[in-house]
Amino acid sequence: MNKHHPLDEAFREQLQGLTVETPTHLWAQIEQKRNRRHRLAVWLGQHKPLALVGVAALAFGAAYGLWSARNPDLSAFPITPSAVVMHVEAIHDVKVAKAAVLGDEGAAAVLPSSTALLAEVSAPSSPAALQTLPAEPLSGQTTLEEALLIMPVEKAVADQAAAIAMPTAGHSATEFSPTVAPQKEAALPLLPAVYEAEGPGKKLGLFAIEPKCAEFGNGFWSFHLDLIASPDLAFNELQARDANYEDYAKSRQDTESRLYAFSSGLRLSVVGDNGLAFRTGVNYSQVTEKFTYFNGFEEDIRIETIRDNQGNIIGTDTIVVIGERYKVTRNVYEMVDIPFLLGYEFRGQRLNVSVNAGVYLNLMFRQRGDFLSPQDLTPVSFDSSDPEAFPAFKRQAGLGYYGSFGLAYKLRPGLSLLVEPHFKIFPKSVTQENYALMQRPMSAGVFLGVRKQL
Amino acid sequence: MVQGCIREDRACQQELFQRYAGKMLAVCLRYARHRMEAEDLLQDAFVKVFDNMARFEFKGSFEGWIRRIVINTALKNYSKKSFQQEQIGLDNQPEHALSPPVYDNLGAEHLLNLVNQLPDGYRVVFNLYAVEGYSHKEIGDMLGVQESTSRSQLVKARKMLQAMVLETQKVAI
Repeated sequence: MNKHHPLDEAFREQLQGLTVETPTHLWAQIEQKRNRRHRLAVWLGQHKPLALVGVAALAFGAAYGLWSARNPDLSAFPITPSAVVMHVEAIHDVKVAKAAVLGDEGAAAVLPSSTALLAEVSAPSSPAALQTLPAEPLSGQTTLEEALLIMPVEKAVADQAAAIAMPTAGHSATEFSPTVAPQKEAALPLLPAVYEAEGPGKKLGLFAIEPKCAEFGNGFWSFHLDLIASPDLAFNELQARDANYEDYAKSRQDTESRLYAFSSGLRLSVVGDNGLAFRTGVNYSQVTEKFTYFNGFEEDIRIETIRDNQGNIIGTDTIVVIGERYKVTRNVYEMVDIPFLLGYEFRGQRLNVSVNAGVYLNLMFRQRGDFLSPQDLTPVSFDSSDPEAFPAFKRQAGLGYYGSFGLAYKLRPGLSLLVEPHFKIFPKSVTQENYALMQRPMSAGVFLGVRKQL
Repeated sequence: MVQGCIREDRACQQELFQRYAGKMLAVCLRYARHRMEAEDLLQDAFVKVFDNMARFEFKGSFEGWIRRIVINTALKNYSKKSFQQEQIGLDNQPEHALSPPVYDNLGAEHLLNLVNQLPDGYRVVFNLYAVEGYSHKEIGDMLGVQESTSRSQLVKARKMLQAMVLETQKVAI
């Protein structure tokens, strides 16, 4: 407080606690300013990581939708039976119908298979019939008559069917339909046999790939899941905010040493046919350091009795052991990040080489351990879960830069072994602004893991 | 109440506004040129208060936290230029020694009126130093000016205020 000048004091006394009447319209105007849109914008601003994850999820959803659209689903594939298959199906229907009408179970049992019929209709004597067949699918409720009408089946076969159907006078064609339809459905599983009969050199329309249809697993986008882990070499750049704290920075460097560090993660990659890749996921990293504080000397005095041969005490011996006392703490820094990486992949026969760069968005930065207090250079806890601890670190470390060089060796189709040397740097200090030092973590390591094509 | 405000509870927000608005409007009046500007500042400040309520760490005074937001909002209104283009001509004017009772007789509203008559740069520095209690270093950091600039603005503000108080006394006599 600046209490020196009487004028200052006079003004402060009268103005500091002054309260004036507030117009009632102000509250309404504040509410108007803080409308739903404003609140949403503020919420998004305060939850940037969550918002970015949402955007990433939407982007993935869109990319996946695009990918799915380019890779047809067999169950939804517009199957149009070929002329040959339809013809065989019709003949088979007629023969099944005949057996049903006559009540001849034995005849149904010995009916020729679709394969045999296919051979029959594929004979050189029937090319005209094949050419005139329409490429429309049969409805499930097609009756015998309809089948005969719409299918210009080879005349001999049709006549034979009619001749057999006629003696059952009184039965209209439509009366056959309930029996015929299921029998026709039963014939459909025989279609693979038809395909086999065609032989490998001849493609049926049913299985022919449409010109614009991507092949399965080889669309414009491919998705990969990486499971990776890395031993890391971690560093901390400590820099005094003020020249007064340069000695303090040095003291911290002297009392803290690296122990080990590692990181692991799950990463989803979308790789385009042109080699461009987008990767995201979640990454956990941990750095463990040792804090050693010289806590002065300690004197241990022991008094030992000296006895003669008979066991009588003849005197005492004072042993003084002087030792150094240290406080040793294991400091742990943990981070959970979301990577947003862009990469480019060079594809070889078995080896894919990639270069990747991007940012790591820190979601959580947690610490526990001790360091020297900037005030008196004595150990102080900076445990982030302890509200009483020294508040040196931020809760989130912000954005980190990441770069890597990846090698993916194909072990078998869809599975690769991944080796990825990488580095990560957080350019901004992870300490709070009122703390004496700026601390920038950085690490380098080699990710090892597997990549599975989805 | 703070928790309620974090949950966007309208009733809590209104209660908080009613509790602190009077004091904060007085703060705004000290930094603004006129009442309308002060009311605008107050609105903007409370919008920020509600937007950032989740960031209040329950350390220190809540009123102090709101006051800081109000002051920061007010400071954003004045660019660095205000301190460079301030009127000069008071350097050679002698400083009058007035006894404290002289100021006491004037009353808070009159003093507020005198502060409002100061040029922007003088007014801001005087408020920050004399009323809020910030040091010249802190003021320099807050306003992005040299410590020496803050000092000279304060001296000039004092001279001007003393001159205005003397003038008031003369009129009264």
